[in-house]
Amino acid sequence: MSKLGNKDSECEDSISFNLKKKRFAIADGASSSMFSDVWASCLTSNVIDLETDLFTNASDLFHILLPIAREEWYSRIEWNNLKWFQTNKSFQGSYSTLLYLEIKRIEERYLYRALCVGDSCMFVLSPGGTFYSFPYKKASQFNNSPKLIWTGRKTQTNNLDTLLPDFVTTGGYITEKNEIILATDALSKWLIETRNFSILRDLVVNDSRMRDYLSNEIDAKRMRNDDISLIYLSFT
Amino acid sequence: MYESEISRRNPGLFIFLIDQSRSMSHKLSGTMRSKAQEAADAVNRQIYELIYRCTKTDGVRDYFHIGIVGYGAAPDLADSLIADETIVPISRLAQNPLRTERRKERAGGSQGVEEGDEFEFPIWFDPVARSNTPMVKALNLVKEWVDDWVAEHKDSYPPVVIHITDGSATDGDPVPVANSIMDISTSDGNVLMWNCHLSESRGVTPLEFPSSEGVLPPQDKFAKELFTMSSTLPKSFVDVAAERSLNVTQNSRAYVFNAGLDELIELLDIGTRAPTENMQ
Repeated sequence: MSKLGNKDSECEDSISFNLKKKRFAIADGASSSMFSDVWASCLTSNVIDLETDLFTNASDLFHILLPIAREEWYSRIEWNNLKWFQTNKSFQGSYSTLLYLEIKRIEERYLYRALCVGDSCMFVLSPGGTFYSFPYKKASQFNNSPKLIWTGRKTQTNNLDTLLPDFVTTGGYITEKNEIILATDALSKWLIETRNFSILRDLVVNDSRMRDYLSNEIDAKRMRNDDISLIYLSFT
Repeated sequence: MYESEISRRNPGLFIFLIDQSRSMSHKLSGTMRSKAQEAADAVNRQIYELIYRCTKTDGVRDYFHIGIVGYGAAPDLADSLIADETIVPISRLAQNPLRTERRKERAGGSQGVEEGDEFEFPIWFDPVARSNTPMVKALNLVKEWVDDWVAEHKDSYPPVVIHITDGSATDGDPVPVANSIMDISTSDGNVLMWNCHLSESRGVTPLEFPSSEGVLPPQDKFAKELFTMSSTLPKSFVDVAAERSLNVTQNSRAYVFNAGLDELIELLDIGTRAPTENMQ
């Protein structure tokens, strides 16, 4: 959902998934730059369809993803139809976070690997109520300058090496009793603070009730007013 | 206080108040251009920076409303410098500059543009320096605008008025009306008045954000007048100024005396920076 007061079309987050390949991606386009929504969408839609995967080649993922995503980003913008203020800002390029998860079934268990640039978080929930969060563990880790993936400047021939972002990875085994949440930063911070995963489990099947609940939390200033995106995974 | 979210539902307001009296044609200290030229250039650039921050994929979002008042372009004249308009949403300024000029960016210039880049620089008003200094009349006009705007935006971030001048009023005492502007408030605090006094004398030391009248030149009635007309800096502005290693305290006033170009640009930047950090 968009931040309160904005139209749905103004949401700069993006979600993509490929159930067949068990790949899930969530990205948060930086509102300080332009066309970040387009960039977030190019990252998530392309990462889930890459030939490579995190199990065999996590370190080279961005060498493969960035040229493809950047080409799509460039082609989706009508550069010649921009007003002066858009042209000037477009020099800066676009920025986004990315959280990407792959899951493989191995006999009775699932092996997962995740990669993250920025402050979107993954939560692996266990039946006893415990959870593992990645990459952030504490609310104090959220700030206004998360790590971001950059398109590069519009006017330059971009050297790929200068665009490669710092990323972190994690992985492990889970069973069908675990659940996984991927969320953008405002909701992630709220989850770390409140640990109220059960309410999301109840609301995730009802979009309008979920929106009402989150809007109330924002109005009550318990959650930051921001675009919110969520992927909730359970295994059957 | 001074914590309201700035959004399209709750926009902020900047009013730029510019002296266009004859003495503004003199060169600004340390530059080769007139005070009027440097002031017009700096305010045009600051509006550009605000538009830059409000520019999103779908266009310019109206996080801010803008008013520009000039005084002294003709005897006893104080008027809006935006043709046929008073306060306007910032998107309207973006759509309607007087003209744009193709410029090559210099080092440390505008946001997003690097040294050597060619870019479109918008102009909303040109420098003028012609007549007397009807500052009181101009402040009364600002008060009228601010009163009307606050009535419609009771919970918005308080309006910020930035005044650039080089001389005393020729139409009376500006302090009472300036005080009455600073008495206007939203639920988030009182209107903030910023004053920048431009100097043409070489070798004078600029005095930035003074905390007491005692540090001003004792014989200079005008310096004290502008001090009185300036708001005490709220904490968020003190923090922005402190980040730039400026000597500010909780009693510092939103005031620069004997400003050159650097101090003018710094005052405009600090005066507009803290509110933009509340943009949602």
